[in-house]
Amino acid sequence: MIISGMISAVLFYNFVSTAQIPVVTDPAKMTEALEPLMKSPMMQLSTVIGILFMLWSANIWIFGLKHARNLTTKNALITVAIPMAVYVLYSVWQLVRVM
Amino acid sequence: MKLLPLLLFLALFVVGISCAYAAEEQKSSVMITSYQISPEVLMRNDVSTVTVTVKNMESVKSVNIKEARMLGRDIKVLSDHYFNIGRLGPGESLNLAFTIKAGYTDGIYYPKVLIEAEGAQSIRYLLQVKVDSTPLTISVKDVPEDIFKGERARIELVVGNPRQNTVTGVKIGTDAKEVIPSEVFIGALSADESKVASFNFTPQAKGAHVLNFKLEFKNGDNHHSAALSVPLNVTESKKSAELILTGLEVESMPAAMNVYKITGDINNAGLEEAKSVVMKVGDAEGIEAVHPYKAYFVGLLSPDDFSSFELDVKVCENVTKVPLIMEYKDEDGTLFSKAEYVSIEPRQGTTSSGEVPVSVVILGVVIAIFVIVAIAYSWKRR
Repeated sequence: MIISGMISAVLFYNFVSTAQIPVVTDPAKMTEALEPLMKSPMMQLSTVIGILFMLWSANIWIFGLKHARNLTTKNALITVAIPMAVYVLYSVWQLVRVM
Repeated sequence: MKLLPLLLFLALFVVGISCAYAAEEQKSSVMITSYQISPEVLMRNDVSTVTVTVKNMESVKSVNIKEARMLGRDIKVLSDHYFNIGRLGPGESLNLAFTIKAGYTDGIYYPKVLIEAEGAQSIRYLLQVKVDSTPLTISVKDVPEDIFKGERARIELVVGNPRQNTVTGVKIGTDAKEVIPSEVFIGALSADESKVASFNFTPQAKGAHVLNFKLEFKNGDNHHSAALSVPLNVTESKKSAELILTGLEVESMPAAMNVYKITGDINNAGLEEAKSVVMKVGDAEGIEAVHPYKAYFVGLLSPDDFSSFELDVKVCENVTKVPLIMEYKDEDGTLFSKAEYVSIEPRQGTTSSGEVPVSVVILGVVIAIFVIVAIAYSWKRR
């Protein structure tokens, strides 16, 4: 997660240094104003990398849960997979929505 | 004996004639001493006022004036006759006014004035009325040889009065929007006098222009007018500042959709300074200038000098050309504006790999492979 955060920080810095941030005075238009920023390929790549590292973390959590709670591998996999599936689906949906 | 009646007849005849002369000598004397016509010289169809002064020349007796009238064949008399005017004391005078109207032919006319008085001889007096339709003249006195677009040119017109009388209310007007002032009042103009009126013409477009001037004046109470058309050819100034854009580059902003940064150089290829130079994005449908460079102030641009500029613009997807407006002022503060179009190539989708550095793509692929290998290895070890 730390490595993921570092890579995302580098990509985000690279993006922000060349981006033109719009001036928004109306909070209601915040989403509308940020939408073009989220469409940037750099931001999308950052999201994909975040998902990859999250999957790696989930893999570690499965073994951690198995030994900490004396669960079978199958039960530990189900326990981690449910919230992870929700997170990944949400992230992919966000990614597809802005494209 | 036969001579006696003859002599008696002759004597009576002589006495009769003498008595008749004596009776006539007793009639009072009335005269027209002067007359005035205003305006003195009429133009065709003009209306004029004739004032006749009638004077009782007697030193003792008064005269009863019964009737006064004016008759004219080619001059129309508009006013009515005077009846029972009244008694005119010895040595007194009386002004009688008549209104006349000129015909449609120039010339000298002699309308009659008839005055009948009790105990006085009737007067039949001929007045001289001149009808001369020569109008005022208006002509160009001075106009610049070359007239340039956006530069002020002084045009001088001269108004002359070739008539025999003074005209009043002389003014020159024009409906041309680029001419200042729109009207010049000259006032009265005596016979054979001329006056000059000056106008400033600042054309905003080159090519042929025709300035129409209208001269208005009054001859007495009668309004008259004359027109003058001045054809002028407006050209581009040979010395004025000439702004040219070079090195134009259009760069899409990576973070914002359809926002472009336009950079380039603005050059002054003319022989005069361009002051207060400002670069702007022109108004057009689907085009909007955005911060931080909605406009770019260049300032003074000397001849053969240049300056770089930057503009930010947001365009709709169907827009392919963006108008750039160059504004500058000359020494007189006259604002000039020139537009130039720059082409914009629409962005080919938002996920184009061309917008992401290749190194970043490789990094993403390496990370993906690393994560997959790590997960696979952890399951294999188990």
